[in-house]
Amino acid sequence: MRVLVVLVCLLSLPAAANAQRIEIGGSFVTTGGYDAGEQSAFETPNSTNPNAAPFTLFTTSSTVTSAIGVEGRLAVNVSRRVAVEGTFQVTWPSLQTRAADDFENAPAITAEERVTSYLGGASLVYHFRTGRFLPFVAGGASYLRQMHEDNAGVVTGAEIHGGGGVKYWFGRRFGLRAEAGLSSRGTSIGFEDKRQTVPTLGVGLNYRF
Amino acid sequence: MKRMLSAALVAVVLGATAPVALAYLKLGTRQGTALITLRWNSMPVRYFVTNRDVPNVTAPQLRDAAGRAFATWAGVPNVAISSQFVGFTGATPSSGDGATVLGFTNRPDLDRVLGSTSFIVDTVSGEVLESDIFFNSTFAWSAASAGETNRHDIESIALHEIGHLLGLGHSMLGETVNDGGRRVLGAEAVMFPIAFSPGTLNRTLKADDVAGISDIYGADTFRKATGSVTGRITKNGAGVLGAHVIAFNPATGAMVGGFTLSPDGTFVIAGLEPGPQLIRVEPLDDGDVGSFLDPGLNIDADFQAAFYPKLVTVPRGGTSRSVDISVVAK
Amino acid sequence: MRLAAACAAFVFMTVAVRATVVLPIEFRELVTSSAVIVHGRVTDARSAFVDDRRAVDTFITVAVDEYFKGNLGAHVTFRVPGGQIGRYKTVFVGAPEFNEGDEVVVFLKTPSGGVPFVTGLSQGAFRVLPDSRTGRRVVTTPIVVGKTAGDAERIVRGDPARRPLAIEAFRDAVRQVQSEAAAR
Repeated sequence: MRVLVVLVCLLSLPAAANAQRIEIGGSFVTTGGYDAGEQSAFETPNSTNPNAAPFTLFTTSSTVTSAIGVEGRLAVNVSRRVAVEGTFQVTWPSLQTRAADDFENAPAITAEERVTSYLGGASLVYHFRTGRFLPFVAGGASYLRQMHEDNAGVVTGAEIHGGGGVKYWFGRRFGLRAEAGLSSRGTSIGFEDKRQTVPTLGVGLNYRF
Repeated sequence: MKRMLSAALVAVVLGATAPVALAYLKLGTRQGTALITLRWNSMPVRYFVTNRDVPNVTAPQLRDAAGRAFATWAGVPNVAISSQFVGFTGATPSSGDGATVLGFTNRPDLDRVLGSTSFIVDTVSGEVLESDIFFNSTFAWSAASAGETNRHDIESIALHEIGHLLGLGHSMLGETVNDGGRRVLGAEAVMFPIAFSPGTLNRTLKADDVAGISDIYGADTFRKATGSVTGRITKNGAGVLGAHVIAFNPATGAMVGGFTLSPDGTFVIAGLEPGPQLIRVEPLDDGDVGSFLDPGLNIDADFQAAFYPKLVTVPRGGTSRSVDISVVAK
Repeated sequence: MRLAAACAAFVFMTVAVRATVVLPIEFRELVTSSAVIVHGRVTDARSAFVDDRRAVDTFITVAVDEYFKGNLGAHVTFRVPGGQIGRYKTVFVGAPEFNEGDEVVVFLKTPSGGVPFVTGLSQGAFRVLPDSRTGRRVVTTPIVVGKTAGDAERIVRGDPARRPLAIEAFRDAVRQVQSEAAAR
């Protein structure tokens, strides 16, 4: 940890002239989907064998779909190359459950609900150079809050992310930003109790003061 | 008839409101226009066992099996149920002595009935005077811990019948096959009315059973920790009476069932874990209507099984948005 | 978000609610194991003490329209467990309940020297009601019968083939089973 602090300070030294510049930005984002679990509607079998396979009334498999959304950012350049960034992101994935193989021949169906997913957190951003064209890497953590449809339920948890991208400044104020990364959630919407890691993409605009 | 030990089992008389279905079914009786639900208002449930052995099962073994079955129901978290074996008696079940008696009775006229629960009700006061369970000694029984081939497990049947004694009706969570005779393929409720084959064991309560008994005897903590789904089943715009609705939890696989019990097709399934549920509906067309519902009801079984195309999220301590499922005629 | 209505919402059944564990019976077995199959209308339902006043049964009398099997005369009386005497009602959970005027088809066993009883308890009692779609008199609930006597066949709820039979078709189904049994 001490090494990291020293490293950040050394990297910041050449940035004395722009150390207080603030950036705001907004992007359209997309997050990847993931498998959310499989579960069959089992019934206790009529069998004298205690290890007999259960009777299956129907099967289900669930997924969380990829989603699009929006993100807002506020960054403070602590040096010429390093910034601390706060982000707030909203996406709208769907939780889908495919029901099939019904014993009573009920038609297979995909039942779904719309989820609203909020991420609020912070990242550390390192720019590899100065000038108009700025490749960067970023990493950080967020608080995740995912609301079921009609706000009937909520899932919360912690998220960590990392990735990289580029900024291109048209002038002193406006610039483009594109990035890709991975978002890893310890708890998230779905029917499996496991960490989910999804790819993320974002394209947007930045403005600096 | 004598009235003894009558205070414990109370018929709670309510106004003649339109019945709304919860999961599973609860037992009740009609007194004029009043609707009476059956519930033990004070615990423990005190019961006797008929001092009569049958081949392979003694009265003490029946007592022990019944004790385990009572304990299984009492072991459901947050329910206030307890029981007490009072002693052996020479009385048979349903003898009108005001006592709750469990015992073997020879009923060759009830040739397909393994066991049954009965109540004696004072139709003037609405009071339940007696509740008994008989096990038909016409059949071959077993009290063995692992069951015995070609013998019905007494504890499994006792578990079902004690569910009735405590106020539960039947569940429709089970499937059958014609295979040289009708046979159960599987069931996901102890309160399914058709018996498993001799030699099988069915001693574990399932989600539907737990939801049912918790509804009757659950502490407030149960209601605050669970939620319900409500909705309506329709066909060509009109309500469907007697449809069986299942709430399935894709996270755990738990299933809890209910029925539409009014002509407008409404239903409520309660006692559900919070979170998304998949809803499924099917007709009651393969069994005796009276095994589940009032035989006087003209139920509609002319539709195909179907799923609801949206996941329904059950809120903790609350009720979901209304689920409207339109079914198609056969 | 409304509170769950659990406290105030109940399912209320009449006293004829079923609370019994039964061994299932398929239609062929129901036909072949019954001595009498009768179609008619209930004209009387009378409860009485039985078994040395230790139990109450109800004796149902049916005015016969026709016999599908057997013959016990123009009227047949059979017994079902449970019933009401005075103010006290014995609810034998699982027994079929009959009211005067009900049109029924009942499968009966006839113990020697005794009063007939319903085969399979409620499984041997069917009601004849007007079909909601056609108005024809049909026997409910749909019978559970395999297409053949031997092959395993799933019983599928919602199967379009699973419908209540018109009373005439029900009679034909009974006679078909009897013919099959006689031929074996």
